[in-house]
Amino acid sequence: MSRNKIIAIIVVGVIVVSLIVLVWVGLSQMIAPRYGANIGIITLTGPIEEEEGGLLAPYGITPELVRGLLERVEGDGRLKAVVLRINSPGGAVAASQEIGNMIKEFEKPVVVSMADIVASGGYYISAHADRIVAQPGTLTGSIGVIWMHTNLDGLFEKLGIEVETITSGEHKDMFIDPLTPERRQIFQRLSDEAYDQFIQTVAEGRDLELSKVRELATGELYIGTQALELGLVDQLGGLNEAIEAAAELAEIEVPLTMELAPPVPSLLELFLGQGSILWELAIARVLGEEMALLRTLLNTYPMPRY
Amino acid sequence: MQKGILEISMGVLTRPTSTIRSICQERPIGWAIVVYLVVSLVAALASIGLGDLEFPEGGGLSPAFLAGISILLIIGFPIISLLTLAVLTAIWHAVASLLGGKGSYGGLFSGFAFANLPAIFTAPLAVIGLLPGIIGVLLVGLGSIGLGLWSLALSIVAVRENYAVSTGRAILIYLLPTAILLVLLGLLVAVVALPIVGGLL
Repeated sequence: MSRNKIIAIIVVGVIVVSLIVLVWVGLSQMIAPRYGANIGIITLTGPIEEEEGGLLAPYGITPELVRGLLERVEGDGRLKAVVLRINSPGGAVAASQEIGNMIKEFEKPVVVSMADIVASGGYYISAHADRIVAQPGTLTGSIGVIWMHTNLDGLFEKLGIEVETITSGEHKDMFIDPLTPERRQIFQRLSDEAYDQFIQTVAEGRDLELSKVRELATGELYIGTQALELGLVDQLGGLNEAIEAAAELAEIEVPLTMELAPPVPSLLELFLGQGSILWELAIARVLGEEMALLRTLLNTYPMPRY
Repeated sequence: MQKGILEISMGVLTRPTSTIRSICQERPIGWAIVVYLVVSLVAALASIGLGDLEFPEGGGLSPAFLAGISILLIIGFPIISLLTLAVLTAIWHAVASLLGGKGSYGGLFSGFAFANLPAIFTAPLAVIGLLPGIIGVLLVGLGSIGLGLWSLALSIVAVRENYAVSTGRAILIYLLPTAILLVLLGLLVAVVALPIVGGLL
């Protein structure tokens, strides 16, 4: 047998085996589970942000991501409930509130299955679920607001930049200037307001007395067993218990699950998208590391975070 | 030439220049169509693994209906792709003739059809794409770029051998329709879209 024939046989063999694998995997993943499944599982991991990160930045939880995945569950007549598997330390206030509202208004039963940590904003988005299941060792709670104000004076001085600000409106420069006692009070008021909104949401979502939530909303973390005692979660357990809970809420006799995967980012997004390693390297290369840091700090207004 | 389809295909992959030269001279259009359809069919099936083919979301449709739509998509893709190749070849043939190239439409069509052969490797590539996480995306992305460049090089060889022109002229012939299309699109934007946008502002 000639060398070419052997290569041809190997190539044809590889193609045929690949096609068999692809058709088998494709049909089993894309068609079959849709007809058996009745509970959707959505995994949400990372910080809650308005925009997702790039290749080396963690891919976080964004309102756009959650909306897309919930719409898929909503539009699929066979899926009667959804389990949200969450692992998140929290994040931006408005993004957390937007996701929280989506869950609140979602028409099918929603069960949250807490992983290692579901704190602060992570707990905020969980609060409106129909049931919360946490592991005994899950860290949750951290009901509070944090607001970090960066004083850029030292960096400006190091870079030889002298900034003079002209403002209309007494406190227009409150984000960049050092904190005065008066401005500290303004920030405190804003932080308190965001904190009250958090407490209100937890009280409403968990059907707890406002005063009780206020008592435990010290910003501290609670371990799963404590969270159960405090009424922050409904039961202890893992994903299987959460699926059972979803089945019970949706009156499903035999729960069959289907994982809804988030869209895979394209190569272009991974390498060139905002926040990607190449993007950040290019910025650092063009501006220099210190200027790149300054740019990041100036672009990131000190925002309250859950 | 009078070789079997497997031998010609292997020749395209291992000895591209001489094989494509004889393809352009002997114009095995029947084999070219068969090879193109098979490669496109494999690419369409591979697209299931790569998730490129959009399957309709459930919404009360029966599994049989969905399976039917899927099969129609997989079969329809190679046929539409073949018709597109026939039309595009005519454009390239016209451009090559205008630039002084002397060759046949059939030779170029056969050359282009066989130049698509590397796309058959999208099947094993799609299997690699099943690897979880970024590594799968990365390998599929790089592999797709590699296969695309391989096909592109074979297409340019087909133009060069069919019209007996230099490699530089073959590249010019190959890229000119794309460049003209871009210029036309630019003009369209300038003439139609800009005044509309300007009016809105």
